[in-house]
Amino acid sequence: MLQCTTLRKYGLALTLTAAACTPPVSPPVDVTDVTSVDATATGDVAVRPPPGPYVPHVPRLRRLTRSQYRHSLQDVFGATLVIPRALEPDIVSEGSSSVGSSESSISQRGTEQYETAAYEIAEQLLREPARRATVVPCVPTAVRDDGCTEQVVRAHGRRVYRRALEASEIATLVALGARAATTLNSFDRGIEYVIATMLQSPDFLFREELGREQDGERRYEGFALASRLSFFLWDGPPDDALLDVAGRGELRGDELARQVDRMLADAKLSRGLEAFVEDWLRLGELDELTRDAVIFPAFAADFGPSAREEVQRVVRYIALERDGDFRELLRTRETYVNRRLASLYGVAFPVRDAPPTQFERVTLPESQPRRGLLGMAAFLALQAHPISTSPTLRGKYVRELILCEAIPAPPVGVDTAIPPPSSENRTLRSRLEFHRQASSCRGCHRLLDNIGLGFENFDAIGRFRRADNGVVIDARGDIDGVPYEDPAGIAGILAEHPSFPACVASRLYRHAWGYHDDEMQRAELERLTTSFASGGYRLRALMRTLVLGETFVRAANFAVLPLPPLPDAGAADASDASAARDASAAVDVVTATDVSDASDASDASDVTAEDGR
Amino acid sequence: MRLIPAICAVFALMVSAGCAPMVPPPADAGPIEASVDASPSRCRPLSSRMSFVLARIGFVREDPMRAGVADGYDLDNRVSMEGDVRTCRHGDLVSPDGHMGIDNQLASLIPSVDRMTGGALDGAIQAAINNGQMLVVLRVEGIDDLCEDSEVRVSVVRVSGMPFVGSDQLVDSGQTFDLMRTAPMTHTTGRITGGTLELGPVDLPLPVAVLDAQFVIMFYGARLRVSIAPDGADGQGVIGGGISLAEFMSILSTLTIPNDLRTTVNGALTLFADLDRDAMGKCQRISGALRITTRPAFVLE
Repeated sequence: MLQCTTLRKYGLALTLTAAACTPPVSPPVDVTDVTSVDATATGDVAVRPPPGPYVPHVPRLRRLTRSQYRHSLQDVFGATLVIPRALEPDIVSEGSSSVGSSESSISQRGTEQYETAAYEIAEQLLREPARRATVVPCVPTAVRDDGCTEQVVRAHGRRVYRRALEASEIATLVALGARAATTLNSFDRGIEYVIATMLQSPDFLFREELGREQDGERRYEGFALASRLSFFLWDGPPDDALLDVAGRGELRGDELARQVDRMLADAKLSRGLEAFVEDWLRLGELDELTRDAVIFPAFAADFGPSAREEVQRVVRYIALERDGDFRELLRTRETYVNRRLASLYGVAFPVRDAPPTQFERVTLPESQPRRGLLGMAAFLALQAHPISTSPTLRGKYVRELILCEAIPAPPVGVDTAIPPPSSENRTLRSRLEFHRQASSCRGCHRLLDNIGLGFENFDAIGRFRRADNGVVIDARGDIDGVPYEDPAGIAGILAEHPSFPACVASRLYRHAWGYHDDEMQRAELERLTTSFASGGYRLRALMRTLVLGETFVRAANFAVLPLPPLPDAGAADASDASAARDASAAVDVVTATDVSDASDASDASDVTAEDGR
Repeated sequence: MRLIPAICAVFALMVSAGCAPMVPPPADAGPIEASVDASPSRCRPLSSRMSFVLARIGFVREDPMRAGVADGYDLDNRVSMEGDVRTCRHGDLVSPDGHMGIDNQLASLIPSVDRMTGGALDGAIQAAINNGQMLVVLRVEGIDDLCEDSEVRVSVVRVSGMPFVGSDQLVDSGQTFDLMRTAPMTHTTGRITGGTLELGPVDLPLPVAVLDAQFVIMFYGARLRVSIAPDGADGQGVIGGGISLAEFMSILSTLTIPNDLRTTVNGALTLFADLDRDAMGKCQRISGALRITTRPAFVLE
């Protein structure tokens, strides 16, 4: 398993080796047997055998997600920095961009996009005198001023790479800046190249959290642990305070707890929470949301972004502002709406002359069956078809994302089409009855539609309706035998369902690790779930439990595979030098001849006065 | 061609005001579940107060295929034949469902206006609604039952806001608007019969704001009838009433329209006037009716 991408600038080459690409080790799960699905759908975990000992994951290199890339740059260089939008897209694996980030490398196109972005940002940093002064903390005495260049590298290198730079790395970057400045006859252009190089480095683009071998396992400590903490809690890089502690080797024990508590109290926690929610609830799919304009005239381009913002705000309100019971997410009547969503939900928007982007907290009337997450447009509209609702999609979403149950794909060759409306079967409920009766379909459809049909009072954009095709909607049903009358009833059942908090814990764990959790991590998941419950289902406390747990610093050991043949001897030398930094690291930064040899400034074939790029 | 906007403005103003009750809504007007949902819960209001924005307002026109047929109201409580001196010799029309005695002389006049303006009249009105210039809301309070309620309080108010407009080119339902306290308001009582709100006769001042014309026009003896949809479906209805020629011409005199158009309008309205005959035998008002589409809305005080 070898993935390799080459960063063209200066011939920088990145080789990702085995650890980055090792698939998760998990026992096969039989999800084709409807009987077994029924069993999981009961939410009854007590019948399962006790979990075995926790088996840590094999570390992976995780590419920064787009939001992490943005946060990394803005945290280091300032929130007003404009981040280019054309970047390698996040890879979603099994519905999770967090998992995808640990399974993906960088495409050729992505490499070019990162390169372009790096130079745009570097140029931006040096354009305005005020901002330049924060980037260049010295006054150069000449076009080539290695001392000043080194100050720039030292000032920002640690934040960019999220670790201390070694002397050889600093020397390489200073030499690069010197050559670029000399060739282009501009100190600032030299600095621009230095910054752009750092921003294209795998040390920046990938989270190098591989741990240190110890007693046959690996343990995260120091900078690697700081990075794990900050990307999980803040969706961004460690700040100076955390790096200082990590650099002193004090990120353990009470100091670790102090740092975690500091991070949990920081405003940046909302970014980490947002990333988790985005990942868990697949909110990114709202970007692609479309609806038939004839059938749904109220649908507009800002619908998806509004729906996404609503979910994030409600989660933030419950989990951070109130630090309340996270199960309220499913049954609360409080939500955040802008004028668009207020119109959709049929509630008054409380502020005069508000712009369309303004959100306000409102309480939905008790007389409405709209409750919590599953009453929001993000769920109701996303889990529907462009021209109609989909009880099956809605039920599947609840089973998979709220209760964390495995639902198999339809059997191969089965006809999944729903009969068209007829005089006998006017409602979707009656039309779906076909699937609920067919032997090949009923196992899953009973599980899915029993929930999904309960949301039929909401159309395919989430607007309340009383009738479907002229017939009054019957929204009654049951979830695993517990009856409900309407969507509000569903919310109440799910909020009390034992699988929901377990599911939240599981998804949070998955988000933290970028791994599919499986049976070998069940002990840890049960520990987290128990802690979640005993802590009053407070998400912030669950995050604390997760990061301070022993498993957060443990990783499986792995073998370092031989590096592939290198293009030339010089590169090989550089590879060795880099590997010496951390002999057990699975990443090598390989610099090409013209850059690796800091003393050789004569070969500047990649830098020309006409075209610095 | 510059006359077209002016003509539209002139008649749009008449439109906006309209408000007399009337004729049952068209067959396809009712909310979809009305014909299928007979459950008591359908009549249970979510709130005792509901507001409805007039999302569409358009003149009722005489049926082009059936002369003498148009929606409207029997405003003078009599069936007049052509030549009846009490209606200045104008005969009443018949509603599409066969009701006699419909007073709606504008229904015969508007098609002529359409020919002059290329049918731009309704578009001008709709544009005024959609850009927030002419937002009128019916506020219904004291609702105990959405199907049958012998007395509800009804206010006709003007609101402001920049509405969202859907792909159907109508203001989206459920939006919140701001009450314009300085605009004239009408407070009256009405009733709900068979899921339809009815009110009138009442003198109803309606705010008009089309193109650069802004004024208030009084609909005398106005009546209104509109279906109420409890779950957000569109309501359909008609408002109608009598418009004073003198007041209308007074308003016209304040507008920047060509004199020859003003003269033409005056002549046409005088010719078609059919209500409130004075001692000289001249009718002082002209009857008219407007078809409306309402959508649920909220009003911030």
